[in-house]
Amino acid sequence: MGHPHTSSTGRQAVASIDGRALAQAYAAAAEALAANAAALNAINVFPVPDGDTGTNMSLTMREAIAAIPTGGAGAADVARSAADAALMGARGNSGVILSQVLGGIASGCEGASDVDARRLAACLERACTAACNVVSEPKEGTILTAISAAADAATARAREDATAEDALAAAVEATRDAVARTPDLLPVLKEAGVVDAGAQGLYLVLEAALSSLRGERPPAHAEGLGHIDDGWLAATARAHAAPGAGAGFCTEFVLTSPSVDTERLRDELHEFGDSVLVVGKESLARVHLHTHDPQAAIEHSRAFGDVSREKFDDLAMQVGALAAQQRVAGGPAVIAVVAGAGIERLFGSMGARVVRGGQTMNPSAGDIRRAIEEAGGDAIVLANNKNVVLAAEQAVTGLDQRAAVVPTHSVPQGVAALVAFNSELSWEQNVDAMREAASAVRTAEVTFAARPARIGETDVAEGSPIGIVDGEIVAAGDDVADVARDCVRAMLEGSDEPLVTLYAGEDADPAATQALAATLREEFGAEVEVIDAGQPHYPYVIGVE
Amino acid sequence: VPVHVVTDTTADIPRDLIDELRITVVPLTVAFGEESFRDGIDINTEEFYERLRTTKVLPTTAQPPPALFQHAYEHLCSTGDVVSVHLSHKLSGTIAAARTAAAEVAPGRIDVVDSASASMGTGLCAIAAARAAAAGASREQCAAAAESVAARMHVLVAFETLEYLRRGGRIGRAQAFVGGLLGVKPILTVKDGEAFPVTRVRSRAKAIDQLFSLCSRFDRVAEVAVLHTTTPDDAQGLAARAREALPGVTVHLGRFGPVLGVHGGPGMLGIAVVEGDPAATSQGSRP
Repeated sequence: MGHPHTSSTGRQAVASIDGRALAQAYAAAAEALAANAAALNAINVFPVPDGDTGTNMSLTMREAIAAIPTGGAGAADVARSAADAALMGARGNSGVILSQVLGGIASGCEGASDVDARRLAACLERACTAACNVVSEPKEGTILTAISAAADAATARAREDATAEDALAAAVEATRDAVARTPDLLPVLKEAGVVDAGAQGLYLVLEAALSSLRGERPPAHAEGLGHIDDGWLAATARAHAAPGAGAGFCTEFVLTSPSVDTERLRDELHEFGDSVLVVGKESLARVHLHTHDPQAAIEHSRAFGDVSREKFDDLAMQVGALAAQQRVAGGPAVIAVVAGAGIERLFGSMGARVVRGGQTMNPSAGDIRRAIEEAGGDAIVLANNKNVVLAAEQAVTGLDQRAAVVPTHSVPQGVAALVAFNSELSWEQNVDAMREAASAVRTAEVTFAARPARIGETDVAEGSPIGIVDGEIVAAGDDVADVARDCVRAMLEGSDEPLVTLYAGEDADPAATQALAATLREEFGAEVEVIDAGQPHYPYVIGVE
Repeated sequence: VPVHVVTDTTADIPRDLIDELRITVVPLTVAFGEESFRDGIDINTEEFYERLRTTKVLPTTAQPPPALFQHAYEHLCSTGDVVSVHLSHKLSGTIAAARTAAAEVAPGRIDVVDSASASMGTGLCAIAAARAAAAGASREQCAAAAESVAARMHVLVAFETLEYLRRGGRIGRAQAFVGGLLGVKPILTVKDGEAFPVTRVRSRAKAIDQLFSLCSRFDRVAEVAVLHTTTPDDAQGLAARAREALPGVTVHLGRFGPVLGVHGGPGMLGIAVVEGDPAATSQGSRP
């Protein structure tokens, strides 16, 4: 047993931990994990960002303390019953590691009625070994780094004639430093702007145990915007991964007032959209939601406090930009020539880089070449218009990079080619797959005759709807929808299980478009997808596969 | 010494085969918030999908605690050796828990095999080990049988969306297929034990054709499994086509259990094809 030491408050440091004190320390740890479970979930990005580290550690600790016998048990019994229950009830990866930590402590306590500094150090050493053994590929920057730091510090301190409290205090301090180091050791943490959730969980456990030993309340965490920022990136990233994400605007802002009713705000914001996150304290909250009407959501929130730091992002573009950013290192880039905001969003949402141009505004070879050079590495260019193919061919000659043109003549062909793109495959494989996919698509364009014409037996007046299939006029009439239907009929000959994609132009009436889609489904048994593409001049562009 | 085969519930082995081959199945956990269920014990597959339709809390999954494996191993080791076959360590900590328990109970008498796959991709490996065990093979031979099937395993899975896989953190290299305003059906495989993008198609019919194409890719096929989460008709149709194309080859038809259901989502349809073993002779071949 170590000699009693006197702390700065005049209270004598606890020389050794008996069964009762250990049970109390475990209970305090369970409470701390429960209180911080959501915060730990929010920063959980490794090994898989499934956001359950806090819940798993908390539930595992809860199982452990429920099994501790009441009244008079020695440290060995307390530690063993907690460890056994944790091993059986361990939930998830982080729960299993925590159960191993408790198991190590129990084996270190074997036969002891109380735990002095040396024994505490031995417990943490064994906890460290047990935790490392359970992980198939131990990594630095995780809970393993933290438990190892705790064990080392406690062992060093125990050599110096210290109390159990001294050794635990040294362990807590070392763990705090280790947690702070985790982003430097594990790049995925740094990218997400977080510390490791499991390591932080272990820190909370040790800190709560120390506070309990000292007869104090564990310090509260999660204060102020700085701390909220820690978990924010991970929490919002998960919101974007949730089913249904991908429509509307990702909206974020900060709300300040003497007292923000965060729960009511959260409930009310659900009226405006989904993926609602409200994180913070009464005086300061950070808000995130996905909504089609960011302004309405913000106006509504003003009733709760002052709004600042507003930020909106188009979700579809955000996801596409992310995909483009995460392009496999050295993998090929796709550059698409597009006209119209809707088409731009469509190609952008699937990770292509876009060059604006098209029917009436062809981009120069130089424009395309610049986009290829900006992308760097291997490149594949989708022309998406017959009149752009030559400029694209010219752009890819004499480059230092490998670049090829997939000579798509239309947006439907370009989309088919982009769908066939797989950044995990080689540039050559992609060029082949994309050419093949594009060639399997027929395209119709519905537009208006620029001058009087005669098609077969029919006279077409200037300004009447006409249908062009793969460059030839095949249909004319008075009604845009009828012409569209005639085009589809012409393209469908001989194909079964057709897929029709209807690209609605800026002049197309949404109700008429839906009616047309319904007709096509019924008349041709086709699967029909409508894209709000917003192209000029053409009420409809139609792809058939 | 008799050999006992252990696997986990994600292997999706049909009930009758589990009974017939006396395979021990350790459950993973699926949780709706704080409410935990042991897969196949506290909740069955049908109940799970029913609950998934109505739940507001999105479920999460968790590996079995090592102690569960420990109990199973202790029990089985009293009458024989053990071969324990599990899903890829890149997808779950299950196999790490199994290894921990094996080292604790009887190192040297328990072989833990990483199938580097999931669902029946794992299940068919465990089945091969169990068949070898039933034929009186040694522990080493049973483990080798499982590893041989793992090496000849080819898997294709069609998804309605990758959002579930991404949300659960199991997207792997299929990240490249995430996103887009079009209704595309991503098709993935399992490569080096994790999700890997193969292709994207625009319609369900084409997705099913892609899956079926795996049946005609090999000179000889040993065994096939077709699985679904919520589309029994698609699965039956695909299995029927496989049976027609591969006369004499066993084609299992089953359902992804809760754990894979959580990570794949509704509409997930998969096929696992075991290529014929060049060393063996008594296998079905393509006409």
